[in-house]
Amino acid sequence: MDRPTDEHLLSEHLAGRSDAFELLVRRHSPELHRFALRFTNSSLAADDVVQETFIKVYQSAETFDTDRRFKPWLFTIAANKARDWIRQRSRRSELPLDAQIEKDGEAGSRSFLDLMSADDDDDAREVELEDQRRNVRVILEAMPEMLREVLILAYYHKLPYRDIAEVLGVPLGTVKSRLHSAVGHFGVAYRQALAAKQDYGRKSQEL
Amino acid sequence: MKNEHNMTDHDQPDALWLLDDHLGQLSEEQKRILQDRLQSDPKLAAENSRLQRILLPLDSWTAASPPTGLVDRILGEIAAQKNQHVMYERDLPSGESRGRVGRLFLHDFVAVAACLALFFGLLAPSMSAVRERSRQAVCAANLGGIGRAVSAYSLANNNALPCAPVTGRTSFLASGQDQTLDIVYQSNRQHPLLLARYHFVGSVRVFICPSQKTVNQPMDTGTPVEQRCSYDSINMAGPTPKYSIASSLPYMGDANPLFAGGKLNRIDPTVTNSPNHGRRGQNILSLDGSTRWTTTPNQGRHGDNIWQSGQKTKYTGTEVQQSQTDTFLVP
Repeated sequence: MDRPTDEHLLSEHLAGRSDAFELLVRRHSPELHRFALRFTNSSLAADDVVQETFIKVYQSAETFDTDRRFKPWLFTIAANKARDWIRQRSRRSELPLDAQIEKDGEAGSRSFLDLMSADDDDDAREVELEDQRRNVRVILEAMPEMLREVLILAYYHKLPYRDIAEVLGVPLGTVKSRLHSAVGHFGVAYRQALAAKQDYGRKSQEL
Repeated sequence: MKNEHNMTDHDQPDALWLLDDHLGQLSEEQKRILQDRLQSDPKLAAENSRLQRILLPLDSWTAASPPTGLVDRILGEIAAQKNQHVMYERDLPSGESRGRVGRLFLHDFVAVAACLALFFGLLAPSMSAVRERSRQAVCAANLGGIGRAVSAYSLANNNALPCAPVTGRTSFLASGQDQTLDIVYQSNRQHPLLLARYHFVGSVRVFICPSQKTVNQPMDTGTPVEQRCSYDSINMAGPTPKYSIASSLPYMGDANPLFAGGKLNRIDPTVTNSPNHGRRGQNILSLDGSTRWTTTPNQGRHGDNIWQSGQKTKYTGTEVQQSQTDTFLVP
């Protein structure tokens, strides 16, 4: 038996089938959570974004245009919720653990994470990977929102360009140009981060 | 042949195709064409390697799985909303009765009045209970503050407990016994009050149990010393435990129920709890500074009754603790 489509499940839900909406939640919550986690860089925020998204979908199900596809609509709501959360956080002026605690932009400047003691038994490769992971997270978080969201949707979620255009509410050409800008932006920032780290290592050895 | 979602504008593979390929936007046919081209075009292959190097670090950022229970939480929240919606729908006036909204009859008022009476009837006792629990908490906080002050006093005074100069021969009066020239009476409550005199406590208010309404003038210097404190403590006229030796023994607690007006009435085994909190129980402070709410008086060592001196049943006012581990809380 074929797997029912999202749109079919939503229609079934509206027709009164009790478990149809639950199936939608179970089907999409893992991917939506990963999206929200990368978007907000906070697991607690991701939980809330996913929950609020499905509640919004539930409340607005009747207004959904069945000619459209469900997934871009779902991601549009989630992206809006995640943007709201980021704006609220910026108003609260929270500092992430990766926040720089020394002069901004200074080569080798330290973050809160650097102050935490590392496990001596950590494998060097794992440490390197964690370093890389942190660099990626920090760079993406600092990236302009319009570039970050297109990169997350295209690279991590492999959404077709057409769906991305629908989620972001921009033309297809804009999606592609933003995507190329995002990749270029990331490449440059990552290279700079590596150079800064090498420079810091060299200076440490000289001391 | 482009796939359904491919937005690549060029029919021939070029640098733009490379990113599309990495993002899974090419059809199988396009992928094959691109692979052929990469084999024959070193410049494009170099460009592809460069793009791979840029994108590779992105793979390191793996997002954790959602927490277990998230789906259940979401479904629970939705179910709650659904119920709320159903209730709201039910409460809406139907088309037929909508015209009657403005009309109220006597039985409507009676029903509202009955609901209000029921509401306040149920609410008043529970509010009273809440207020008493809050007073119990403040009382425990008072004793905790005194405990910290005793600890500081003891540290500064060679492990001694607060003790005013003892000149009297008796620390309390028995029922029917009045203070005369023969009976030099000295209230035991003067001892902990030293903590206030020497500023080990911030305010004399801590000596007043919020549930006890008869003792409410702590700031008035003309008030007899026994009325400036609503807590009873171990009788300082007798053997007292060293703070450092027996720190778990009770030092102080709500007022001893066997006393009234500073006089010992009689030993009544049915009276077990302090009058401070309506005889429901009492807060006890141990020498180690810990406080607890108890509903029985057997809180001394080996279940010793803290309201009595050992097993004595007759008192003259000179009774004290039977040993350094006996507890006898007196006013």
